[in-house]
Amino acid sequence: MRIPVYHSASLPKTWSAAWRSFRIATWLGWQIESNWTDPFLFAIYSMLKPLASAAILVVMYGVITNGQF
Amino acid sequence: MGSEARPFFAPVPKASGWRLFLKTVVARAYPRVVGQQRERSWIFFDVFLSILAVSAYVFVYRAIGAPEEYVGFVVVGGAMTAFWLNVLWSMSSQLYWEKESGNLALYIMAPNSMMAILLGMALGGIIATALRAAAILLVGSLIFHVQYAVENLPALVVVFILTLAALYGLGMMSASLFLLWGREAWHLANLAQEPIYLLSGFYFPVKNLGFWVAVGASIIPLTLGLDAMRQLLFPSGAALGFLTVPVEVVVLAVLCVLFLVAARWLLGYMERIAIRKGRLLESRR
Repeated sequence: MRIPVYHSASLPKTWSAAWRSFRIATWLGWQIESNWTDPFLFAIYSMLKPLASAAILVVMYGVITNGQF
Repeated sequence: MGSEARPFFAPVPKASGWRLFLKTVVARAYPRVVGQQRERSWIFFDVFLSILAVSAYVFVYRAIGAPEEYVGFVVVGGAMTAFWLNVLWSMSSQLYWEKESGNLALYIMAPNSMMAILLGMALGGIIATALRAAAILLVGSLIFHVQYAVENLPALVVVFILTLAALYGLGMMSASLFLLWGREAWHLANLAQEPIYLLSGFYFPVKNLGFWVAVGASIIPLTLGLDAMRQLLFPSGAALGFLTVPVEVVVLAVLCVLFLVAARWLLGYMERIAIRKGRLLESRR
């Protein structure tokens, strides 16, 4: 029985395949997570929502303290 | 036998014109109201989770020593979030979801007005959500001992009705827009929650955001609706109001007409695209 021998020349090929898979998987994960939307809109959505939640508390505090932070 | 043979099925008289319009409105509103009764746990969780959110803001106000009226502002704002969420998820996004589930083609093919379908969705949504909003208002007011001072009940009722009419008009208009925008609809609906709570002053008087921000936020009917309701519900509301109640009533009435006309125009636009190009979405989708 012959045991297959992997030559060093085949190593970069394996790495490149792994990298390609990783890259495509990352892209696919991003697309699924963002529901294939416009990346700009998704980025705004991801940041604006939590910032607005925090800003509500900041404004509430500012209203009561007359802006004396 | 002298009698004529009767058909097994009696012919149903066909409705047309306003009769068909009204029957469509009732038919589309019916599942919204009845559907809620079939899943009562949703009512409980909708009320319970809203009370939790309201409680968080109430405790923040109490921790920083806010006047007790601000607790009332939060409870009223919390009750009105039920309507906003209903408009976002059950009006604006609805046509997009109907397309996803295959019902939209049936709506378009059916010999009735799409405006009647949208109006039915709005009417059913208002009735179903009013129960939830009332529960939030009642439970929140009892838990946090909110004191109201209503001196002009008719004005309060007019403001409430105009706010809902304008709000659901906005929902009818954005239903076509969200359908045209396609996949972005879900994110847009999500995006229109906390940022709108902030800009429309759901939990604090919108006047505090500055004049021009408040003017910009007035495109959302809840901004002026909530402001006017606060002025009519609480003794210090008038001092904290953005505009006077009569001005806010006029603006709400204008928004009402504007959104309903825009909803009709956008439905026509959507249908024109469908007929001319054989699609219901914008070109890049």
